[in-house]
Amino acid sequence: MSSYEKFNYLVRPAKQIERKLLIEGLHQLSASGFPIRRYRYVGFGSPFYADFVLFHKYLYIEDMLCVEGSDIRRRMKFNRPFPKVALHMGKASGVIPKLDREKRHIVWVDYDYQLTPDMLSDLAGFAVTLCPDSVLIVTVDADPRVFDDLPEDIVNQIRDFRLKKLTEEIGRWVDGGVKKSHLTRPALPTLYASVIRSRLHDALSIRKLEFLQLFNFSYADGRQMLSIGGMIGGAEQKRRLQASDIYQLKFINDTEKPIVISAPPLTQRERLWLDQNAKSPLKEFEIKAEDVSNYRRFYRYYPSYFEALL
Amino acid sequence: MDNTSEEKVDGRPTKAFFVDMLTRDISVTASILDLCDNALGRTFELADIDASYFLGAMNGKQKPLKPFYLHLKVTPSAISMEDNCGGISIDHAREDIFRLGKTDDSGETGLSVYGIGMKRAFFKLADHVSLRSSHKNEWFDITFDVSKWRNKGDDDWSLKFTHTGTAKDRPDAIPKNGTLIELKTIRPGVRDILGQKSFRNDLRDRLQSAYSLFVKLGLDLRLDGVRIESTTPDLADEPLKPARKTLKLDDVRAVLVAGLTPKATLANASNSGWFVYCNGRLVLDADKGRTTGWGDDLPQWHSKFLHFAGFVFFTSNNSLALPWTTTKQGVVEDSEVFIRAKQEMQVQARPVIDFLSRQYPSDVGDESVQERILFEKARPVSLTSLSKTDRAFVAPLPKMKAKAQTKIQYFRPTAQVERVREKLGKKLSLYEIGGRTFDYFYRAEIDE
Repeated sequence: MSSYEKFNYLVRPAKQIERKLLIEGLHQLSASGFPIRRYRYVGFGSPFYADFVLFHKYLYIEDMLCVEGSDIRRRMKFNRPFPKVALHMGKASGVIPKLDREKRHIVWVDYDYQLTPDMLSDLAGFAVTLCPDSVLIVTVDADPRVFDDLPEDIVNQIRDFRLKKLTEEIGRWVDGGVKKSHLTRPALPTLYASVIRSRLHDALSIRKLEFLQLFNFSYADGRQMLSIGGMIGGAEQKRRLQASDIYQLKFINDTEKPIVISAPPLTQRERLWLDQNAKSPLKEFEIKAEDVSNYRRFYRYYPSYFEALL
Repeated sequence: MDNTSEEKVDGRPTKAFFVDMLTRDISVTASILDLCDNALGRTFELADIDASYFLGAMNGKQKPLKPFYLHLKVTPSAISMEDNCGGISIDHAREDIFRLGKTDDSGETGLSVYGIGMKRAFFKLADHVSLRSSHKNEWFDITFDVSKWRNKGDDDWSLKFTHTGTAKDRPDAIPKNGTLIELKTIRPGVRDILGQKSFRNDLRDRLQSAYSLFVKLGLDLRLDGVRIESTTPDLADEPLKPARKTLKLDDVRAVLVAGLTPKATLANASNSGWFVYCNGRLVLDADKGRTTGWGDDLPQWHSKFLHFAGFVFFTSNNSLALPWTTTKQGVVEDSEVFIRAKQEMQVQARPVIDFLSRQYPSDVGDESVQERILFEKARPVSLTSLSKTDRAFVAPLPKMKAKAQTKIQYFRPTAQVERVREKLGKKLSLYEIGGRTFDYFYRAEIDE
């Protein structure tokens, strides 16, 4: 891959597209009578607080709690975008027992590492404590981390090791067990998605509730990530969602196969041309048909980056 | 074609089933505990308290069960038990307590659940049974030999009162509002067990843990004249705060407490894990297995979690709704009440587990020192003195850091102090002079 096809990791366009898709989906919930602006948002803001800024500005959420596991309290306080953002220094497991069981929440646990048993325990914890109408979103690293520059036998050893580890850690939640064929780039997100769905299903079924999945995205600004999100609810929530228009939105997905968000690297001129024309650009300039279709699928959410002097 | 016949198939129970079969899967110790359960069943009710009442209700001082005693004597040739925990009425003896199984499916308060414990214990332990009890203005005596009762065949299940009477002629041996059980002609296999030293120590341990709450509340429980002490561990409090959560699970109320045993307490595996109580009676002792979520949403139990202690107090007016097994030596793991409680147990315990994990520098950086200081500072508190407020586990690390201050007090010659005051050039208070001179040294010698 040539360098111009790679992205500056810091700007992360696919992640930004994902945030905008979530916002549009949550807006639709608002329109369907779920009072999103009065929800409490719990997320992993990091010092950038990108999700907090967007959710405050575009979903009008006031009540927010940021969870930060690294020991950077002063930095987190310094960067806090609004005074109403509360801060919890520590792991998500410390927040779970403190959640107000009566209050509706949007929780986005945006992990930047691979699926672990601890993560699944966090999800089970949220499934026990979040009230119906709440929205739970989880993001995990679902990159198979293939080292294509290593000799075949070493690659095989790494695969065997990972297979063993995954079997120990999440094998309980996989029908038929984890297989080598799961450890590929297209298959790993689907495997993780099914594990997350099973874990949430089992924890919620005890409360006679369900995970009404709305979002399932995979994307890669660098590492391949997976995001699964949905509403916690019972028959009533199910009925209300079905009566709403939310399932008309193209990116709403209740299956275990993720929708791939791809942000092909295009110049401003190329994007403008694609926005104005419905035809193929191949006569004008050479761009792969796949990139064109990927761009067109999410062009409304595609971020523009310019240098700004602040 | 009609093939039905008027001939009946015999579906009646046999005494052999109750005497020989039902007693197989219960140990001698558990049988003796069954008799104790029977005796203690109504003490909370008599003391007019709920079995979860003790949790923080009384600053650890009140002892509502102080008027009650249960004295147990065990020798290879006889077992006797005397209590003053309410006694049994003649009506109750006639209609209920000697029936095998309950007469209806409604539960009751206290420790009686399946209507089988006492009889099963009699059958298991001895042939000669004497049960004498007084209740309010009446008393009775039922004495029988199991073998003779059994020889009457499977059609006659009745027993006879040996004596009944009123308060005026109550024999001295029968405690007022209490019961005296004497078992003799101990069954041969049981006699050997009763004579073993290890058995007696095990029995003492089991009594100690099973009724530790009762003892903590003042019950005078003795084995062969020696008083049994409560083994319920204390918890580390202030500045730490154990987690507490109350759940309403249909007919059952569950109070969960999760925290740390104090640093000063000798860390001991028998004090670590989950303790599960049903109506005050311990049914799961220091569990560290999958039953209580270890290796599930909690990590596998590990010696670094030695200071973890979690308690679940299930109470209900309907004893059948509680998740205990018939032998009261475990929980019914797939009961809905227990599954729902277990989810919450894991939610409340994880921050405690995280705290303990951070005690070990190999897992993180140097910050772990703070956790250790905090843990050492925490003062021990009895379960009976815990706050009654539901809250998550609290380990107030950052605030400690900001607030950690020390007061310095000292004397110096007045003349010298006045010269310092002059040098500082202002009309400063002694408090400020002290502070400024300290800061001066600190800036110069420690932090430029």
